[in-house]
Amino acid sequence: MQKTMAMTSTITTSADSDASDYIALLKPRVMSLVVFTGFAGMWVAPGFSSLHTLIALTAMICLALNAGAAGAINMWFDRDIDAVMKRTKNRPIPQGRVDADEALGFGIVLSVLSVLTMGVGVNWTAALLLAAANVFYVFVYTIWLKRRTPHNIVIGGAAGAFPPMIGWAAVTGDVSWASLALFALIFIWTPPHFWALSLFANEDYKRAGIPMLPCVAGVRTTKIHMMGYSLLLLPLSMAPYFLGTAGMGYGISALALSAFFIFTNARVILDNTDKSARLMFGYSVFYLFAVFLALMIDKV
Amino acid sequence: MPISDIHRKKRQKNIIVGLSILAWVALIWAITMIKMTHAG
Repeated sequence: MQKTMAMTSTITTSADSDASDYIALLKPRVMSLVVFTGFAGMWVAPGFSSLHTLIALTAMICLALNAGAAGAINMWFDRDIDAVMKRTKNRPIPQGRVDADEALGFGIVLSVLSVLTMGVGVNWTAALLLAAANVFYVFVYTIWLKRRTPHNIVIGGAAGAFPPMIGWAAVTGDVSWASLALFALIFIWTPPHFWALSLFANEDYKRAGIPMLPCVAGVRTTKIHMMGYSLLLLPLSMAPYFLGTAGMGYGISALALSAFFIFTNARVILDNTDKSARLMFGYSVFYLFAVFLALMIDKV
Repeated sequence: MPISDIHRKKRQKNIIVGLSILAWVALIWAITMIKMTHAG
């Protein structure tokens, strides 16, 4: 009887969810950045113009769904800390609109289907990289590093750096220095981006017990670490130009955008309020879009 | 079996899942056709 009541309660909870809750599980804002950088990787890869439109579209759908699926599994694992953080407490699982196990199932099914479809429909190199990004985000970042070390997003950031490499591999079927340079660009961009966020969401992370760098090493140390990565970003963003993947137009744009990135970071160091960190966080999102857009425009 | 409240509540989700499966099958079929044409 008790079991029946428990089952009815579970069914009622999950039945209360609608399609928008499942879309929220897929983290659409993160997905948009993944799709954009993935498409840019595809666009600049040699041979893109001869790739069939439907195959290119399939690669993008698989990339989007796989990123979303990893996000759903992340929400399942982090449901306890999501409930105590202001930024995440309205997510479907802590709000009780989607059953946790159903979210996990949804994530696993989408992960497997997207990798297999990428393999069958596009190529197996892209599928392997897609699987690696998923495994890295779920197991290395979410389960292993996030709650254990302040370097969680330094190493875990690799998961978000895969999309341009996947896009490139979808066209060429291989991994090259040029696609590795795009991987490195996002990998080095990730720490200052997330640390800018953690500077003004510090209390939220403390409450959840996540050892973000400002909570563990202090605000000053975090800002100096951020500057180290920001400085490294400048030569890295120029790599496509030096490798011959992009021309002078891109080189100048990347130089200007990266120089301004360093400037916003310098303001964060000099300013003791949250304002500059918020500005830098906003600019960092714009920066990634702008660099990849410049890369695409350069290829036209 | 009578249509219960749960059936009604889950109708939208079931329709979306059904359509997604159909779309996936259609996609795999179309890609197979494209790959066969290019291989030929």
